[in-house]
Amino acid sequence: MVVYSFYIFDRHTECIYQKSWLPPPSIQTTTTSSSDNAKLVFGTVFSLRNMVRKLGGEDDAFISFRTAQYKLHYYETASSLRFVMLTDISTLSMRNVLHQIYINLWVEYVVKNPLSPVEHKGGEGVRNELFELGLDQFIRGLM
Amino acid sequence: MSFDPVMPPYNASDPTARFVASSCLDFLFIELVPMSYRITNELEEVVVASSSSAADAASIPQSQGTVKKMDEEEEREAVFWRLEGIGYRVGMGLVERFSKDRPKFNDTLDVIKFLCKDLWTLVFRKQVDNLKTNHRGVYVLTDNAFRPFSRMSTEAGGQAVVKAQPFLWIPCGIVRGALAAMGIQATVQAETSELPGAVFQIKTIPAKS
Repeated sequence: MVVYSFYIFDRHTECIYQKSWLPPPSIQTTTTSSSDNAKLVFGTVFSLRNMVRKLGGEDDAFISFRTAQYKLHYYETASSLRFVMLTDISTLSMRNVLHQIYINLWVEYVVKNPLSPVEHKGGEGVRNELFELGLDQFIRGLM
Repeated sequence: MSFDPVMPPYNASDPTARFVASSCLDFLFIELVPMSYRITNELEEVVVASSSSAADAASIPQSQGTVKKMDEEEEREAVFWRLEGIGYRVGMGLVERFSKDRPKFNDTLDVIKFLCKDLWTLVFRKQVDNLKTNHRGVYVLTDNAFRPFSRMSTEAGGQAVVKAQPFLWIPCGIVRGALAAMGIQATVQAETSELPGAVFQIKTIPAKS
């Protein structure tokens, strides 16, 4: 199992955190910058989520999609935070992993961090040492 | 986390026991600090505004932008007393509630031990790791993993230690209030040199005989 990259989008649709571990074999070798990538990823999951809801009803959720190169996993919290992870195509569902990141890392080290603001404009307060360390260890432990 | 096991000295058979999600307490402790800064600054603005309008009435020309703001030291001091005062009141109340079944304390060390073990567990869910005293009224409490600091973190080089300082002021007040309720007047100072550790220094003021 290989994890390529990970993104968090807040309820204002801003990308407040992104991290790459390994570049996928053939994407991201083009000229797009990492912020452009985040926008592309958000556009994709936003449209897919809306389409899925339109077809399947309000309670339906899209969980992942797969291309020939990568698999994208999606998890949306009740508070409209969106967690996205790109992995290789053979990986099983990472929904549980994204949920774990939310409850064990995000809630603990960002929401309950006294030095982190309530809103994370520009990613403020998310890139703290405990969160980054915890995330990196967690992901490397899976790989 | 809200599923921590219930710790002594309270238990479910205690009819007066109340249970609160510990996240509630965490969030309250977190928010009290920025709130105190806001209140302090808002009060100062009111004072400045009213004094400048009084000056207008006396027809003394006031140039724009000369409104004197509190400097950092004054702000720090004002916020410190606000938070310390809140803590003091909390500490006082806590002792009344949780020392009611205990025998009377023999000496100051007894009181300090109650503070390090029982009260610390109650408020911070662990005991103090180290207690030192010079036997002349100074006690130094070291907590290597101070609970309010356990999730405190900034970006690398974000001066977390400096930013953590105001979060020690309510605990300072709690300690001072608790000691006062047990009959010991003291000054309490706290500092941290590395998160999540914290060092509290208690200087007791000898009662006049």
